[in-house]
Amino acid sequence: MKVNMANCIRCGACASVCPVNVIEVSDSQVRVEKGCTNCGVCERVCPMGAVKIERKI
Amino acid sequence: MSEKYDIVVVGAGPAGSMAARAAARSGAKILLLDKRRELGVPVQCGEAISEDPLKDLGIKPDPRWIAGRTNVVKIVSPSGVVVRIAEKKIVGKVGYILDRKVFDKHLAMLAAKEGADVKVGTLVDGLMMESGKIKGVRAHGIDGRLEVLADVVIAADGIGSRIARWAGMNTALKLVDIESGVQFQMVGIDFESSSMMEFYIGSKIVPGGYVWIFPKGEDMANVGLGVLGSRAERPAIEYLRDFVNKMPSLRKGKIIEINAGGIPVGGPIKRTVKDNLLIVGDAARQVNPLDGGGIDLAMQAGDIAGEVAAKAVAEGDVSEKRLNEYERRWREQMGRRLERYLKAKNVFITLSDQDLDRLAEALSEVKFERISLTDMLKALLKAHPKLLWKLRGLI
Repeated sequence: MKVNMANCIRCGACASVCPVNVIEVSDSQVRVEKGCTNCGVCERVCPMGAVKIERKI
Repeated sequence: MSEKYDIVVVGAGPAGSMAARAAARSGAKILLLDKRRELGVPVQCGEAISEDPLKDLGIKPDPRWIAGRTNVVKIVSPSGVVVRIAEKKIVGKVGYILDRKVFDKHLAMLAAKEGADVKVGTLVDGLMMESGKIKGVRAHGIDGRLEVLADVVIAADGIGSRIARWAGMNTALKLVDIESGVQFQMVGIDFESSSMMEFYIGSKIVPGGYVWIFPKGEDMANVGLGVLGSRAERPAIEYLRDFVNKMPSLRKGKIIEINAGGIPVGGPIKRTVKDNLLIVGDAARQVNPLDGGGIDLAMQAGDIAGEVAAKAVAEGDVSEKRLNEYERRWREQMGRRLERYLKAKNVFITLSDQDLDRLAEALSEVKFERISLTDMLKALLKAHPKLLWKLRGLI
């Protein structure tokens, strides 16, 4: 999970749908703890289009 | 640093502050924590609430946090059929458009005045556990690292509550249970009336959700939308940009603020209590699944939670069984209503644009004594019996 911090407004929608609970959003940053599975639900739900999942081809 | 409290409330939104206020009022030692340095910011809300819940909770309306007053609703269907509903007929009566930046601080202040300690700029990053029991929270922020011991933790930490998840409850939302919300606060726009709330629906505008325009004064409004997570084909902000660009009355306006956030629309979580833990507000998904509104519900539930937690602490019994009084009381107050609105939402998201147009046509021709979900549905069924099969679960 990659967050474009210029577009992110720290709303936390990504964290609320994360099935493995590894996203922590604070005033200053979005921290992704170990265990992200690149499932992509955060990307789907981000209102600002700030989240991108890097998919291996 | 380590501190000991009777109750620690995590999150100073409407649910958390009301819980802290109610608990402090009963004489308990309370700490209200929030990760934000400024409460109410960023706004993650359309800011509409009806008058009655504030009255019931003893919150006196204050011009410092009321940005608009509404008494008329206009709904516009996909093909442009307009339904108008006037004040006296709407359940809940007069509406306010709040300024949450001031309102949220006001509620936290009410809690502080009752004796609650408040610490902003402090992010809770874990629960303190001892042989499987919750003993408090760990946090870090402007005062460095902090351990707060407490008999009861009230999780008011918003959508997808991390606290509840650390406590072993799965509060992660499925995409069908979340609206991805975005809002522009706009100035220099036109609308029919500054006392009219406008709603626009349709799959081309916003799949599985709606656009709202909530006036804040003569030429200013919150213009926002929620798109259902499972239906969204693009980020919410793109739907909103398209809508604004399409409307001449909005296109000429200026955006002075952008807000965003998730709205939990899947109905309340199954259990909102555990030994030493209560869950309130968005964290418990105490939100109307049909319209996404939840300020009032969060405040009501928070008030009950604070009162019950303080009583439980005073009695020396903070077990799940004792704290269950909170769960029982909030469900009595709003549980059935939320279930019905959830059913209505589940029907709403299956309706085609053609269905929605037919519904709007039927509603625009009917004179209502009062507007309730049941009355509206009955009128709709009379006009369009063919929709019966889709709506049957709701009556």
